[in-house]
Amino acid sequence: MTGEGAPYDTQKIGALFELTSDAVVILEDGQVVAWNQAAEQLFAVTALEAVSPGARPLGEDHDALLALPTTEPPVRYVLSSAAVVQARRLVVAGRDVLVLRDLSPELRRAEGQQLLAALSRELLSQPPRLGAVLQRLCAQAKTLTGAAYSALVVLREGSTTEVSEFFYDAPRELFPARMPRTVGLLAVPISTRSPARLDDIRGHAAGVGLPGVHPPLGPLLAVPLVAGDDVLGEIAVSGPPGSRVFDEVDEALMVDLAAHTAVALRWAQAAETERERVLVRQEVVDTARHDIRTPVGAGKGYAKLLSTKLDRLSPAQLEMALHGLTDSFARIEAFSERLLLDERSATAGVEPQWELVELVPLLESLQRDAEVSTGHREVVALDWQPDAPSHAAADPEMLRQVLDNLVGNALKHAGSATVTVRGEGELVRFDIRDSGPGIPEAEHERLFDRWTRGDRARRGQIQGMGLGLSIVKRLVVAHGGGVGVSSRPGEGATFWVTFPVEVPA
Amino acid sequence: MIRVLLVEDDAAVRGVIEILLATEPDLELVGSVDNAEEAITVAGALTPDLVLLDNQLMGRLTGLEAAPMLKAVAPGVLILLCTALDLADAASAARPDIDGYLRKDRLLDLVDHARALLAQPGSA
Repeated sequence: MTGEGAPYDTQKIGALFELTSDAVVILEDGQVVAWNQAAEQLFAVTALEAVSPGARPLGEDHDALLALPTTEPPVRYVLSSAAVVQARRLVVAGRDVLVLRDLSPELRRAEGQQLLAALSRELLSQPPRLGAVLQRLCAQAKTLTGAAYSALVVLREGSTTEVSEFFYDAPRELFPARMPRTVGLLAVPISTRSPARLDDIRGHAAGVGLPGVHPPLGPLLAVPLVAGDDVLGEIAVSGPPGSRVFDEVDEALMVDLAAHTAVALRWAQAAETERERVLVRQEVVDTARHDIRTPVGAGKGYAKLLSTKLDRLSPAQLEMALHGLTDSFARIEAFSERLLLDERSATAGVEPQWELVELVPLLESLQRDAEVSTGHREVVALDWQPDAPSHAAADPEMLRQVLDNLVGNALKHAGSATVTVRGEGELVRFDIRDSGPGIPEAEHERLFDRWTRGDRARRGQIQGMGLGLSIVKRLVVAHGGGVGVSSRPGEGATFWVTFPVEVPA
Repeated sequence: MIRVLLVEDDAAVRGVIEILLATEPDLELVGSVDNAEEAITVAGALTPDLVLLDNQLMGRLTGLEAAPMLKAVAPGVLILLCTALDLADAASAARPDIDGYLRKDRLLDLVDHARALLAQPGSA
């Protein structure tokens, strides 16, 4: 328990008590040991007396004191059950000292406006990085309202439910380990475009509760982030049960925060999207440049054989060379089509054209193509489980692209693959298993993110896998399916994807 | 007669090399495999003069990883790395156990490369 500030001697503590009109509370190991008169006025006298004789820890009615952060800058607002105060935490003669100052609503509002003006200037002085903007907004929301927690959701462009960014400034256990895909609890301020409290959310049809494992929250205040006609997302503050209920000053400051920063947020979002587009295009181009060389090289080789050695080729060799040339062109053609699809899937929105796709012909054609590209028989084994559905509901091209990608990876890593098809409730599940080098568990989570490739690939040995898996994930998610991997180094890898069996209503 | 072992996982590229070598009287294809592990297993017995080695292969080893092992099991063998890399990349990947590079878009250069390499004094 240490705070910032100059060390004081014991005499100066006394002086502090006498000279200041602020409330001073001395803490030792989180327990109140002394306070001045102003503190008595600020907090209920009975509460302070109650903790005094045995120097017991502050009770829940003083949660604000206990909620004071020890790692934050020394000056910030804290909330008591009775008032909004500003606190400075000092270490005086080895003792933890809180200097508390009561703030009137007018003063809070004025100070808040100054903070917001400074924030706007800062964010608009240069093209902002999205991550930095999110972090600043969450921190500022806590400062303005004295809340213990803050969280922010940015919507995917053009959507009012899909989450593209999720950021929180609160203990980790309060939030799901994975980013939510859709706004749940926080959907109300987005749909109503106005601030919402926990009660509004509970009473609202769109107000989905927190996940079951979520610890109970105290008061909650959420405001939409609006730029022009668009709702970009929302920002919320909350705290543990028993925290001060947010008042109209909090609400006004949060609305101002949203208004001041929505433009910066939109700017950062646009800059981020553009950066990403450029990177993805480059990745697609680099991958293509590498992957096209083998079929082009082979095609050129056959053509050159035919033009320079025609008279020396046996009929069998002639037939093989002609066949090879035709085949190379077919591969180049297929490649350029896939390239277009990859580029589209990687940079644009994915809108499946739903059809019922028969699985037996699809997988058998995939099996044949793998034999053609590797020149080996039986490189892809099919394992139909008794409960395997006969069809999947999917965009046929996208389903093919997903399976091509996963089977292609297995062939690259291991030379062969087994595809198991089974039913899983309303879904059809494909397991693509290989006996390659396997993937360390630490890599699994990031494997489906863009720019991530396994170590082997980073050494330039396996091209394009990072992009491929991020495309797979995008396509599968667009179908409402799931994707995952189980693998350990040395034991091969199993990638799985699920697709619906019926076209979603 | 120059004895060549082909290590290549792409069927089309294998086809080109196989026809090419069949039409060159002084070059002989003694083996054709699609992964480095098998190449290491057979290289000792086949006693090739030259291994035409692809880098990206099926199986766990890459061509570059396999090169020193091939030299260990077949002492004196020359290794020509067949690469889709740019020449600049190839130069940066230059290693003592690689005796030369063959570009994937110029597969027929293999014949000249092989003859030049084998004609060097001190070569097998």
